[in-house]
Amino acid sequence: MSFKHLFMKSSFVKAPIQNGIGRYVGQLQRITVKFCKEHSDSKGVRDFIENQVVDFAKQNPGIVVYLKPRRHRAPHVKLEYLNGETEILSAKCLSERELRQWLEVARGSSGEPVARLRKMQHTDRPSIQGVWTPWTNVPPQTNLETFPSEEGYRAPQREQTATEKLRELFARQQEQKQLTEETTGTS
Amino acid sequence: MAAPYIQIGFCGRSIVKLCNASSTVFVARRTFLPKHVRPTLSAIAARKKKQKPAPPEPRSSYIEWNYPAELFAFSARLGESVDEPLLRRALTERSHMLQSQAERRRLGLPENEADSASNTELAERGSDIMTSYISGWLRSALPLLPEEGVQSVTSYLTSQQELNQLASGIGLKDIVLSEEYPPSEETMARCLRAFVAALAESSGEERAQLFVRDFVLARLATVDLTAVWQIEELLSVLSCRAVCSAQMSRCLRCLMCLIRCLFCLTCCLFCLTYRLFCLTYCLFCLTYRLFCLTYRLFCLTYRLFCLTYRLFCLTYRLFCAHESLSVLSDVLYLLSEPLSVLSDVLRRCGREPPEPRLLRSAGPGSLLAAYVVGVYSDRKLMGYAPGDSVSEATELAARAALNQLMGVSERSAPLDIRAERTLRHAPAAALAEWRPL
Repeated sequence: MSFKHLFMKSSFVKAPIQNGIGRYVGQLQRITVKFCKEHSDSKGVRDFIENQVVDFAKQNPGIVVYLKPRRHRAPHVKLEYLNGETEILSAKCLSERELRQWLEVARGSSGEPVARLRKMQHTDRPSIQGVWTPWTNVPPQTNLETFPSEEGYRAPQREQTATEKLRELFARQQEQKQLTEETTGTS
Repeated sequence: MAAPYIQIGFCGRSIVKLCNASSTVFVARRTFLPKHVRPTLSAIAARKKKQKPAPPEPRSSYIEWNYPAELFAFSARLGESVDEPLLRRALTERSHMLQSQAERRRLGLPENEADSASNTELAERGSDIMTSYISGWLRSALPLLPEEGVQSVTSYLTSQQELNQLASGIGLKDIVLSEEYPPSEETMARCLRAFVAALAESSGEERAQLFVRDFVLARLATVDLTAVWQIEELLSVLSCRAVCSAQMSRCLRCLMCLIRCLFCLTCCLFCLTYRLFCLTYCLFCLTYRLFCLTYRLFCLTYRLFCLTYRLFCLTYRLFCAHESLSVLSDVLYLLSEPLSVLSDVLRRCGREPPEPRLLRSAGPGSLLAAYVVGVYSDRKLMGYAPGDSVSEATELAARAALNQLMGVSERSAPLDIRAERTLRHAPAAALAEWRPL
């Protein structure tokens, strides 16, 4: 997800009540399927109720399923999560299969509002090394140094730069060229 | 429902100007809405705005609510099977029981046995199960931790606040039978404890212990043990001090109140005299120079008095805000204690007293000064820590050394919650007799 989602809040990865460390608790606690018994909008929902709802309830004993017929209203599914969030899924003109798929999405969701994740991992202990100090990553050989030490007080030696390397190469080439010219001239 | 608005393009009250590139067209717009609708709706909206926000409605008041189904789903969600009557009892608060009994009496119904049970005893039993399991588990998982640490971590994990979070996380909020809604922290914690006892009664104590391990002990994953201990200790010291000094501070406060009243009275008298003086001054202003001098002197005295009074008021307020200032000194003492605790421990183990040494320093005397101090005993490094000043670093180093001896330093491996452990019910060594080495 990109930063273009201006109206989407950002958050970190989190699990309610350390879910999964001890035991996994599905976060969807109840669904209320609201549908019309006559209207064609609710066709898919009616099919779902006829064919799948009992199996769904049996497979997910932790989710309470309520059915609420309402005459001539668009079908909806109200999803209630353990963290107190409610979501209303519009099931208008959804097929049986699509509704089942959306319920599967809800079943695995934590109920937190959809947000852009700032990082894909999270830890409550960012560092086991403790607070950073100027000596956190100092090379350990400094511990064995005897003072005054010549090495420690010398100006830092830097590597040859690319330009210098090129110049040297060029100078060597020129030298070689001159040498070959001289040899050919004498012979 | 409001009637649908119909907009039609002829004759009417409001005229909308539509600008076209070529010409300007006037279109009349009319909504066929009765004249009274708009004022009525606005009046209703205004009244609604005036009213207090409605209290949250309990989920159980909805039409789509089936309590037995909810109870079944609750146990199934946690992977447990609890007898329904027992579970119902665990979730019935005393307030709800009394309420339903009164209702039955009012309706002239006979007393029902199911209605005369609340979760009070179950909660006590559940609390015992929880506390004994958690402390036993902690003793076996952290064998070097002294008993005070075990107790404070246990009390942190079984505190009302923590249990409330857990209870709302597993969905107890909607199914608790209580008079109040939303249920208070105390209610939620009590119901969770009662649930543990109900679980022990219906599926055996082992299942209850597993529940405690998987849900209550799992909180340890995100908790810094050393911080928990320190916080708990601070709180206990604070509460102890508060109890001791409550009587004294009450007396002191009464006395101060009395003095304040006296001050106020004197102030009023002064004020009155001042006004009288003013009047007299006005009358005899021109003639009595001597009087004038006296008046000025008096004014000065009055102002000084006012200043004193204000200062006193300020002190009084400060006193009221921090009921006992001596508590602060205790906290400071406790925070500066670790080195003495460490030296006690080392003496008990037959080691040499701790010797703090400056390991590294940078930028002394600057804003970004940093020092690393290590605590040595018998020429061995016990612990080290960085700090802004030498004294702070020393204290933190002593604390780090103590943590390392307890086996709860920040470098120690996370606790494995699912590992097999044999509970240790015998209390660990107290801090006063603790020999980690």
